[in-house]
Amino acid sequence: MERWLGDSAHLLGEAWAGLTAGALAIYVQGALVPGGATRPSYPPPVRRALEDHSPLEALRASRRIWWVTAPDPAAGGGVQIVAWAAEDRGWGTLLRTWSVMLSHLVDVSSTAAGLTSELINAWDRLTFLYDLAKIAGQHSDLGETLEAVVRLLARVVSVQDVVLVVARPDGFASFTSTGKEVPLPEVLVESVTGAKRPLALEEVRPALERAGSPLAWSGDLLVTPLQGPGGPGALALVNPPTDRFDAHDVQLLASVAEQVNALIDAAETRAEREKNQRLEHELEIAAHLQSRLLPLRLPEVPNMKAAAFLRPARRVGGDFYDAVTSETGGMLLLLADVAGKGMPAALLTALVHAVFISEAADRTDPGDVLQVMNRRMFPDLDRAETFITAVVLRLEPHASTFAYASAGHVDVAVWRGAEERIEFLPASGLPLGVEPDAVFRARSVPLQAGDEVILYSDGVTEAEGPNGALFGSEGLSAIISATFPASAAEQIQAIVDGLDVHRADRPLRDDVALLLVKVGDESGDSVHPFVLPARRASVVDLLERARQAIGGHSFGGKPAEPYFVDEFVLALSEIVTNQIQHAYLGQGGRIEGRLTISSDQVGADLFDHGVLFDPPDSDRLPVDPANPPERGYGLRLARALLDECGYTRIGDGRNHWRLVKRAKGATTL
Amino acid sequence: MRIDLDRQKGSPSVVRPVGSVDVDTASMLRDTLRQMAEEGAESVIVDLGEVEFIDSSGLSALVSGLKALRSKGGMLSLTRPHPQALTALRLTMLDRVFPIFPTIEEAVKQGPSLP
Repeated sequence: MERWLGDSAHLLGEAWAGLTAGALAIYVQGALVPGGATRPSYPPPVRRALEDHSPLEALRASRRIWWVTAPDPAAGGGVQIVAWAAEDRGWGTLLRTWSVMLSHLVDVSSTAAGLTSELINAWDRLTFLYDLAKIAGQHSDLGETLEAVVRLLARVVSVQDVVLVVARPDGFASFTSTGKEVPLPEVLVESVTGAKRPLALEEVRPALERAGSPLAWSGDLLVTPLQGPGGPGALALVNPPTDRFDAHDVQLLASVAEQVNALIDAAETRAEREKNQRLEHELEIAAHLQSRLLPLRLPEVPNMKAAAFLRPARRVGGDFYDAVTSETGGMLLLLADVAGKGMPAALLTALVHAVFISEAADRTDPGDVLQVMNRRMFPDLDRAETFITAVVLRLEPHASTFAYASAGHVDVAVWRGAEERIEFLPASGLPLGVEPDAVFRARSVPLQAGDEVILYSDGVTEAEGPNGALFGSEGLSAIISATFPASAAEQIQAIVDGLDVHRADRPLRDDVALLLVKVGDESGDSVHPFVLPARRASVVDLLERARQAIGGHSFGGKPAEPYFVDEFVLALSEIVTNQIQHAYLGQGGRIEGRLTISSDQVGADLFDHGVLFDPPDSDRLPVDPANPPERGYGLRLARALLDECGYTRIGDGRNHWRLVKRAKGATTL
Repeated sequence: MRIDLDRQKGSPSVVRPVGSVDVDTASMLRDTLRQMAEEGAESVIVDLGEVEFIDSSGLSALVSGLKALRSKGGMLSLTRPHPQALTALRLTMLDRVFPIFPTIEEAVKQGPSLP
């Protein structure tokens, strides 16, 4: 077999591997050309297509896509290409073109039996197709790709000029190998509209002449239609009258047109992908920058603990918080919500940060802070036709009051630890950006140890559940009251968990911002807050958490006894299961609460929002051995295992279970 | 949980749940015991030797099985409960409802004569 055949097998194999990460093998009259891929075991349909000389298009088998080309009946070479790849991006066309070119090469070489000029010509064209395939991977811009194509084409086919016209979204773009402008490019495109093959000069001359295109008076012209991204296009070869085009040129132009179409397609897809990647990258930078605007750590004030949380609904958002330590050792906190979402809102949060830090943070009165911010930002907000709601809070160490001012922001929540109830404080002024001279008055509110102040955005209270129910200030109060002995950071996490449980699988629609300050020393007990969906699977997690927490604790200087842990966990399991089945009737809901472990006992407080628990009185009677009841053992077990097992219906429609087991009061064994 | 069955002609059938008998799995035990009652089993031993955990749903399943068997003139006894299961049975006073034996042999020997 000719050496050049092996070379082309190698060349094409390399081009194919570069494009598809696959491999190919070339057969001439059924014999494998050495230099191609080592023959793998072909799937049966591939073997059959090779034996029957029938084509096979993109067959999915053996975890690959397979192609087999049919020998060209016009050429006597009997060339077939077997190729395989991991995926199909319309590679069939490319393989068919390669197969036809190879067939002609083999044909020519068998008749001429040597490297005639025609063979050299054919070989050049084959490498041209290889080069063309490579161009696809070199340029990301469609214009650059098409320029490279016309330059390459002119070099290989040695014509006077190559003209390529494609429709772009903003009109026709033309490329020529001579670099000369194409007059009336649309006329050339129209002259081949609807054609299925390259047209000769005689066929298009009337149309070109009518429209006054100088191409009508070319020496010779061969033109074929293209399908560009914005509509039809055309590819033409131009020669002086002394050099007429022949059948080989027609065939070459047809196959080149097919490949150019594929190139345009690929370049468009890639451009789109790169544009998306660029946008994504810019958003990532924006998100990073926005997170850098947040305070690295919150101020540390004696006797107080603050924690914060921010989660934009998209990559960046309009919710924002900031904090500074005042000269008197207190803290000034800001939580703001720019109307709108995404990038436009995010850009304004940078302004809020800049103005707060540079011009407002040295004010002692929260009302003054808002007033300065409003006056300074008003022109920008007015121009952007938007507004900002914001709340500013000032807390001084060991003070018996705190001050706040609110520019149209949602209520400030205050947890009163001594009474175990929550208060909501309303806004004291208009949103920022509404009135240039708006006045914001600060309000002074009593504060004592055990209290908490919670600032939040409406993304918290307006989070929607599956049935459209809002999380509401009720949801916030429920979580706060169920977890209040926990740390500020744990409580923030519990609120976020509560929002997630409430939303179930619905997407986050608004940004969420939270800032929580606890006043007074944290309790010496180990507190583990939890929020879970009323589903069996989450109970298993809770029980495991309880087991770990209690098991790792010591009571009266001794590690927890295994039976003590087991019995408490069994009782807890019975009560939570009861909530899921009876309070929520198995329909799902939210259970929140806390485990409290002290030096001599373990407690659990569990809250649900389900129906009133009303067990039959018979559940309290001793079991009659002759006729034992089939249900109702859960509560009997829990009561017997615990030192305290109380149920209360709270006025706001919640159920509260309180479970206590004392370390010394082991029930049995 | 899985349930192993040992049924021999002329002697009580032994039902052996393996694993945790709880909310998720108790119905399987209940269904097995009811099925045996339907098929006319007279004496069934539920061997708790391989049950590491039982909750109130598990206890309910045992009581349901007992009632189904009793209604057909059969009976149910328990063997080899772990301390956790024994605590649960005692706290709910079900230890007075089920005959409980330390070994299967004793349950076989004494089982049929008990109420």
